[in-house]
Amino acid sequence: MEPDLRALLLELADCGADFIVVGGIAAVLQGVPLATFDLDVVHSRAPGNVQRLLELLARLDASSRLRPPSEVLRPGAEALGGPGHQLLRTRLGPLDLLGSVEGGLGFEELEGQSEPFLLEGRTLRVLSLQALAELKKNATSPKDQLSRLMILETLRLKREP
Amino acid sequence: MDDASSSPGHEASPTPADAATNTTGGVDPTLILWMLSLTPEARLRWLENVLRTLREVRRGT
Repeated sequence: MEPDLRALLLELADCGADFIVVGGIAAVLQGVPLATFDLDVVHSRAPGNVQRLLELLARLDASSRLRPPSEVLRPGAEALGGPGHQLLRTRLGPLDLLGSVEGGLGFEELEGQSEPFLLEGRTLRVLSLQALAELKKNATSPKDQLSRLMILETLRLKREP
Repeated sequence: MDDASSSPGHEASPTPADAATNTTGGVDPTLILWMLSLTPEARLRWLENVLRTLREVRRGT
């Protein structure tokens, strides 16, 4: 099946989990013309939220991208309840569930820097462009540095069209 | 990608007169302005089209 990141995003929204869209999709939603191949979200690590995500991962046939496709290894409650990153393949495309991001920032810390976005009748929380740029401030990879440049330029053009 | 008017799913392409004239580090402001003119749904559709095209190129179809 071809990846469908929009459908993946809507599945996440519909499962009732608390999460913030970060990474490339957050940038694209706010007008940054970046190509990205996966959906990155920072999720709430509260037990009830972890349970909702576990049920969703089962429905999406999720498994770790760090293992061969033939080996289905799905994160458990302990992994989703921690600060680490779960890099998953799902039947709708790659999904990265992040317990925290740079600086150890988790859902609670980032929620105030996120903005509501209406997408096909669902309200999503998306990390602001300013916060995305801040997260990439110390990035060393050329890809992240280019992304930050694009984000900063988009912010500039939004302020001074 | 340089020509915003050829981007799939576009709704309103900026003219050169509409676009900012200065760039930062080679970033194309016309493409950003075009993206900003779209709704979030349309921006996601743009990404889907880009990814579909990349997959087709990789497959050689």
